[in-house]
Amino acid sequence: MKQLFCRLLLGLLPLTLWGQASNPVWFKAPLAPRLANYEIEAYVTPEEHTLKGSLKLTWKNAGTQATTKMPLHLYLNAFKGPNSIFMREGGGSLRGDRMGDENDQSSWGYCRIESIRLEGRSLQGSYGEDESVYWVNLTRAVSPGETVTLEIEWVSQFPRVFARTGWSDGFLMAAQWFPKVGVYQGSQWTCDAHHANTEFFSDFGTYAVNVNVPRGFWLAHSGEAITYIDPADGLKKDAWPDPLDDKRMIYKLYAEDIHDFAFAMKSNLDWKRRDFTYRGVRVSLFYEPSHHLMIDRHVAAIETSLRLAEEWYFKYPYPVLTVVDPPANASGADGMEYPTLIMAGTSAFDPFNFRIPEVVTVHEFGHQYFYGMLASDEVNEPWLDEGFTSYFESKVMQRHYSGLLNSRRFQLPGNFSSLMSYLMTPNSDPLTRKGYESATYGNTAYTKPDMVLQQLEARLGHQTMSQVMMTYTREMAFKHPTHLDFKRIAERISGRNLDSFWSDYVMGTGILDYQIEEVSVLNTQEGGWDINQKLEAEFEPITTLMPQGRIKLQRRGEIVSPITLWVRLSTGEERKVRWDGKDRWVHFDFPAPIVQAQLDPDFEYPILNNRLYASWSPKAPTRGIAYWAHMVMSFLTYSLQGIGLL
Amino acid sequence: METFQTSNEYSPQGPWAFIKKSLIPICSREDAEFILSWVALTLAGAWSLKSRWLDLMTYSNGSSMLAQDWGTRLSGNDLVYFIKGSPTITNVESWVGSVFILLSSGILFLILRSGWRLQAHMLGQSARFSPWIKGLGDALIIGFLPTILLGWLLSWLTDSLRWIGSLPMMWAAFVWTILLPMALTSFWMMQWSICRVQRLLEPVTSYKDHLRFCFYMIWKNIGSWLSLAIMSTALRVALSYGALWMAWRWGAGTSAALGSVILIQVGVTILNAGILRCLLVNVVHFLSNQHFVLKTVEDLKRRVL
Repeated sequence: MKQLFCRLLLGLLPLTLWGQASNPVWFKAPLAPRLANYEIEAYVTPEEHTLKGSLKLTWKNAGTQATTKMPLHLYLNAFKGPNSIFMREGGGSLRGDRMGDENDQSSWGYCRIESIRLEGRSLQGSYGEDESVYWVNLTRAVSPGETVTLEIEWVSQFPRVFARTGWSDGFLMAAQWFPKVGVYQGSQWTCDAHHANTEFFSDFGTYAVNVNVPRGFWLAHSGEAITYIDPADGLKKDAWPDPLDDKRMIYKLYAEDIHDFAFAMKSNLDWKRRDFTYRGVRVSLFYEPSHHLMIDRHVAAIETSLRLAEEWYFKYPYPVLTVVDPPANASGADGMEYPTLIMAGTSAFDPFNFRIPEVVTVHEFGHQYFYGMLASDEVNEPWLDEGFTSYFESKVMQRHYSGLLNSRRFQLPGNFSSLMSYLMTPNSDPLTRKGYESATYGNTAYTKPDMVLQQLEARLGHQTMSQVMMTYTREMAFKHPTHLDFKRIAERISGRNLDSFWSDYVMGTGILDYQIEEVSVLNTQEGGWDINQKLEAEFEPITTLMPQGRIKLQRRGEIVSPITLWVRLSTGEERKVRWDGKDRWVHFDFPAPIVQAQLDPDFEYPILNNRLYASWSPKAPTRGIAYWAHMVMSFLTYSLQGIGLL
Repeated sequence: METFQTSNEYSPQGPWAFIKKSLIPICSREDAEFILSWVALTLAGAWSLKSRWLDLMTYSNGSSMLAQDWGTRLSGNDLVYFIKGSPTITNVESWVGSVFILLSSGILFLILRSGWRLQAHMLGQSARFSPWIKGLGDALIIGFLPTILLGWLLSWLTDSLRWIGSLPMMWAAFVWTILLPMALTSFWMMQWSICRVQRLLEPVTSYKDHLRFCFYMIWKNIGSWLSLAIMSTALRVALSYGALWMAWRWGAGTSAALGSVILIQVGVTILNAGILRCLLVNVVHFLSNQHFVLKTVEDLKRRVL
């Protein structure tokens, strides 16, 4: 081990020299408060699935109180054994991917701290909720505004990938691979254990990372690779020769104003790469050779995302973006975001032209904003990154692709998956519930927020909502926003009080559910005894008047909102009435029988729970139903005929 | 190597030799029953589905207007509102309705039964239930595992095509992925057909000999049977999905378009049923020929001895 660290120290030498010679600068002025800055030396042994590293963490106390402790995330310890919080909560699976053979030691992983030093003195500490958090006892209090530098040496053993990080055959996804400091705000640290569903939360900073790998590997990574011109062939190279070992090479990577750093590596013999520049961003796409038919679609999705995000929020500020299509047997690494790096897997062939590659790419790119730059607490308020990103994804899919699938007879709108998921469990947890406490995480973090934001857009109007989103993203970029920041900005821009909206949709579990319960015809009559002013009684013959129409509406959900009813009468007249929606039932009478009725005709409520019984007509729309019944039955019959049922 | 001889009636012939003969339409009651059962399944199934879905939309002496534009365009969101909104739709059975399940199951049984009646009628025998169901058992014993193995081998080909990575190969692999399970099921159905017809042609004295003979009848001519299964399946699938594609293009914007969709559906069902009838008849011709040749050889042997 000592030998290894000597090598690592020697390895630091070229980094230092390079740092002095050509220190890259991304931004003239920092975009973010650079509170957690890392200089990392990493030595990867792929065949052992290990990474040995040393880092210098330069941390600034931006809180209001001095601190004598510092928590470090050791995320890989979540894979140490079955008793970690992550494994207990998730049962060894995540997002449909299952961990490898649990009796095989290479299925598991860990992060082992070798030493921690501050100002030349060795530090001790203890584990937190579980071993995925390590609390370091500092030798002295670090005052507000003060900066300290910790030197840490550690070893990471990667698990077989099923939950974002780890190895699979010749592929390694190094995510959450180094000890990472928590977030100190006010007088409080936020450094949650690694939970099964929830993700991450950290401070911005600069990263200078040297990754030493065997020759023949490509690295797809956060940040930018420092290149050099190889005198041997005059070509620009992004991997430097290792001065100590000619079988290895060093990637020298750099990034500013990001809050995490990840990389994926695989042999360059069975990985393809495409580089292009769009709107000043250098994009590198790493993909499986068998997926080459899909790559143009990835490129289009990235360009679309970059363009629309710039139009709607602000220009993507980083000079680089890397997109990785992980191999099929590493699908656990897929669908994940890291600063300037996204994991957007695909398939080799998509005969029905479902927009899966686009959806994943657009979604993960959206996270560059909602997580990457608007660095909300993904553990305690997961909807602020996943929900906002889902909203972004829905909007992009609808605007650029006209939906997830746009065929001649059957169309899936951009928000189809959110609507479907939301309507199946509309009264799920409040959006503000902590991610690891939520029993309906997928719904609460992803789909319900998408629907709630669509509802907010319908409430405020498209223009105002666009302005709200633009202001929110610009004002809260490179900060740690909470839902209250969003509410404050939305109220300021729209000039509306959103308390009831927040209590109904963000903090509440109720549903918006109105329906037409009954439509009837009232046969009214007049006549009978009439007492006139002279107190004389006269009998008027009973006569039947023109029948009237009556409609009965019902509020079935907890949320009370005014709603519009549109009716067409038998006379051809159309009327709209507004119901305050407060009572459970209400009826409206009209001077003629109703021939058509519709609740919420202007689609004020995308989140309305029941649109089946929100419209009424005396005549059933038979033709459309008959058509689809025949289509379905044809498909079934033809399939039976196909198999040759004899 | 199987033979494709058609000139010598005293030599055993493969299944392709009887295709021409099997194609001759015979308008027997059994033929009509078989084809009309398929038509009934198509129409009655669609009718019961339509009725069920209309039921779910019906309320207060009227109906929801959700499906108003479905003839020209169905949105996935509408489908979610429909599935979520209707109160009894929480499971598939209530979604399709018990009438659909009972009706379709009944007609499916009728189709299988009429196919059997057709074969028995050709042999001048009554379509007893016993050989039919016992033949199914025979086919499961001798045909299931070999068919699975054959499928595994052929699907390996599909994967090879996929790995080539060109778009035409991807499409070929995709079509093959759909076609192969259907063709293999069809192939296994032929095994069942042989087992049951054999039981009609010759009483089972030794079960082992019966199984061996039926197995031999398929696997001796494996190339012919397999190509017959694949080609006839491809033809049926092409007709079927061609009709579906046309119906997809036309939609049901008008009653005339809907009528055309239904007419095409019925037409293709009749054609496909005709192809299936041809296969049923072919099995009978093939086995009759085998028995004729065997009997002739035995007679010759007896005369010589």
